[in-house]
Amino acid sequence: MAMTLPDVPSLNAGYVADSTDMNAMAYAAQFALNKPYSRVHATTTQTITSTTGTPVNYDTIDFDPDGMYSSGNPGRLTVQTPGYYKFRQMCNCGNVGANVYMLVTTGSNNPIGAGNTFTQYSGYVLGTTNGALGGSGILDAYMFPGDYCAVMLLRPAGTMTTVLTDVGSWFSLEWKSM
Amino acid sequence: MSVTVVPTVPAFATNDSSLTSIEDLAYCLRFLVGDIRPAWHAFTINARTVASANTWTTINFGTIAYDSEANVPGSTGIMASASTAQIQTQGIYAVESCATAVATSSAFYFDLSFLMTGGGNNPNLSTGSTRRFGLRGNTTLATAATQVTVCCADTTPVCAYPLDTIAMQVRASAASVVVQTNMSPVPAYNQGRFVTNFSGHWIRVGS
Repeated sequence: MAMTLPDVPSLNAGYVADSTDMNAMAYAAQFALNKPYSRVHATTTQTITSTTGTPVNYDTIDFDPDGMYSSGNPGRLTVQTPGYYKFRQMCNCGNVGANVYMLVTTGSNNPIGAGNTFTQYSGYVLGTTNGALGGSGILDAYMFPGDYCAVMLLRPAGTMTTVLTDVGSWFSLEWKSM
Repeated sequence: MSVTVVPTVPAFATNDSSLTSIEDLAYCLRFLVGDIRPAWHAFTINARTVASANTWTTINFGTIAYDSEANVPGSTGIMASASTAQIQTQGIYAVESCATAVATSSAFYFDLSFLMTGGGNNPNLSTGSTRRFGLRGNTTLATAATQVTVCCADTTPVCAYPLDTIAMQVRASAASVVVQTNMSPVPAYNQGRFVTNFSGHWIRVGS
């Protein structure tokens, strides 16, 4: 469920704060203590056959109070509450070389319109014994409700299958700022 | 106040002038942005040897740079053991770490992950049971005395409760791999940039 962004009042000198002001400040604290955050992970492997980017799918919710995950679109987290978000992710690529990057797609609430895509935070892992490729950072753009973010996996040629060794691939989004 | 308590946000009634409510709100803000927000940062000052190949090994951190719970009455601190973080305050935590390994004449893989262990208060993780999270992997060059650094950031996959522990662990495909305190000057610009370290902080209420 989307959260309402807090509106912290300005209290000028001589002004007597009333319960509305105090509750607005209390809500800001409530929001910060319970800010939007989701973490999902994969418990099944995924075979990538395309040489173009394919979303990594997740089937298990660790935490999702804001409702960013939907089993109907298991390869994305969709922002419900606007803001700047931090992502963290790991794709367990096994022993094949692969690229992973973050893909943001705008929704209909975004002022630039729906369907615009932005690639960022690309990385590459060599085809070695353990290819656990991940990253973290603040997504470049302000996210509006309906914008979504996916971890994209790209094998330069042929097919590859993700693995569950040690830890299945996981992905999280954390609200950071208005 | 003993041990850090997750704040309860007050509600203000019309004409409410309760000092207690204002103090509760002040405590919320102190918890969110002040010195009592649970956080820690530790790093190594002595090289550690990962004796066994293909075995997750907990890194012992000799120096505690910051531990928000260390001086809280009734709390033992988060990094009291120097090897694992022991949670004192319930919540979702972000955890980050970097480790640098010294390469040998044969290439080996070098992995880093976190291991969370239930401490008796967690309804999501029974006493002594574990949950691995994070995970990054890399492979060294086959060039002796060069280094490879692996960094990892994740959040606890379940809410952490008091007495749960979080260990930073590394694993290498070769025996006797040395985890460095720092990158030696090969090349020189690397020196001092990647100290093997372990940090974390509370990010959100959870249950």
